[in-house]
Amino acid sequence: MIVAIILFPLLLAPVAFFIPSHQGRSWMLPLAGGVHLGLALALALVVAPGPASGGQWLAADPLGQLVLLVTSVLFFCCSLYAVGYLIYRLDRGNRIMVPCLLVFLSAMSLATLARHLGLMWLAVETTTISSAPLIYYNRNQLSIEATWKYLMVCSVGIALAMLGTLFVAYSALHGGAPVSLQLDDLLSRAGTFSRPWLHAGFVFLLVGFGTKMGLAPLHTWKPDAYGEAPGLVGALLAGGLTSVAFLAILRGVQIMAAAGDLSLARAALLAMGLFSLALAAVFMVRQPDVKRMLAYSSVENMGILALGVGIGGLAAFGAMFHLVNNALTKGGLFLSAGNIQRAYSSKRLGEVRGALSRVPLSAGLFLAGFLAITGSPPFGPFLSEFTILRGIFGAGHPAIGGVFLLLLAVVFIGMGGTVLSVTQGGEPDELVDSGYRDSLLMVGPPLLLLLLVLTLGLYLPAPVQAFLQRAASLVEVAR
Amino acid sequence: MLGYLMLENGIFIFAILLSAAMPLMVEAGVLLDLLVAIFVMGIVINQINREFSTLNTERLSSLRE
Repeated sequence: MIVAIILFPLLLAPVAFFIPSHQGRSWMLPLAGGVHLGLALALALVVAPGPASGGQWLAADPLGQLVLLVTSVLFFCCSLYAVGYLIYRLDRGNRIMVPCLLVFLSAMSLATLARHLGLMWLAVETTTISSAPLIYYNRNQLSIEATWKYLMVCSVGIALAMLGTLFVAYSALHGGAPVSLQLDDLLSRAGTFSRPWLHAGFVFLLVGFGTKMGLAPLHTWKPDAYGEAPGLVGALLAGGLTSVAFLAILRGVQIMAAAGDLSLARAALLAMGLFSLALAAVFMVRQPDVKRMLAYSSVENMGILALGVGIGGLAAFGAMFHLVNNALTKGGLFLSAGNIQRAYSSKRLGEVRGALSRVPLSAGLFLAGFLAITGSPPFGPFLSEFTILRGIFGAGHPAIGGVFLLLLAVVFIGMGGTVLSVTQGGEPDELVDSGYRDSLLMVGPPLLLLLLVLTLGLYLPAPVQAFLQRAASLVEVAR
Repeated sequence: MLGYLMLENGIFIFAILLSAAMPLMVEAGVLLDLLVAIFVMGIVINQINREFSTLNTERLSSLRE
């Protein structure tokens, strides 16, 4: 089953490349998404999360299952959206996009299920390569600049992550243990590792995978890449890829915890988390470009995730819950922002006004998504951020809690300025009808994603809560 | 791009020290990954050349805050 999850989209990619009809290729996406979601659900329900036997390449532990499930739900919704979206993009075609999306899905699945650090690294590198053509989809000067920056920054980051992986392996060698990059071997022997090499390795892992996740100050590619990519791609990058990169960092945290140095790992995450929040808050005020604003929101939420795990305990549980909420809400936001951009043929604040009258459904969803991601009740992120806040105050860090609240408020004001200006008001007089109409396939997926977020905010079923708790406990006590 | 290649070379020389940690399959997969990465970068450079009529990436600076 695990192998099927990874192989099915991968094998479907060349098949999709050779299908002659545009619509036929588009429908490969929901096919892959649906099968993938079914398998991921089966994996979460059937496989009992127990300690994997040593030497296994692929296994599903609670953290991996969580990220896999979230990514799968997001991809499925985006794949349905893609069918509708690609009808509008017959000029660009989808011969490159569909196989790249399928390879992207396969690589993300591999990263969540890998038990060997080298294999996980391989998967994350594959996601970088397969998402570059997706960012370049619009084929203009701005998107090639965005793709170039993305490739360069992320490749350097990934190279540093490789260095970190190798340092961790060397710390095992130095400590006298047989060299192995199997996660289970590392976790069981971490007590004997040479500390300087392990710490250096963790820092490089944090910096390297933090680049892919988009923590400040490694986030510089995010506004450009999310800004120029199609909304569909932005949703997958912001929701799926960032979660997978966070998982990679959490594997490093797991090893540090097993070695007894969890406090150092937490301090590093705390610092980067707060810095990301602060930077995102500053850049989000008066942001004239809608998708760049969403990119900074992504940086902010990644900061919240790092902050949650950096505090630990209840805040770590809140971070796991926030991972789910962030991925689903970002999906809804990017898809509806993409619809608005389709309608106005622009994403800049001067040209996009009065979206509630032009595309009421998409603008309504965009507004709801804004309320959700900034932490308004009754949506999910309110609960997850509140849980993290409770964890912060409970652990005795009132100053951090205060700063957190202040930055969240700044983000709300900054983002609100842009969102309200986009949705309210009257339409600009020079608006040319771009031929876009809200349809089921374009509005349904973001609606579904935001309804899920709303449901999670209102009622968190006990099995889901237990599932999140199991995932959070992996970055807690030393095994 | 040259700097990136040199960085990767350096890292892989370090990896040779730890050849036991990286089984052949993973090492081969990593090399394949890098080859594809260079290939994709080459395509992007080609597109840059087509769009901007130059390979001077300092011209790529129109995306601002």
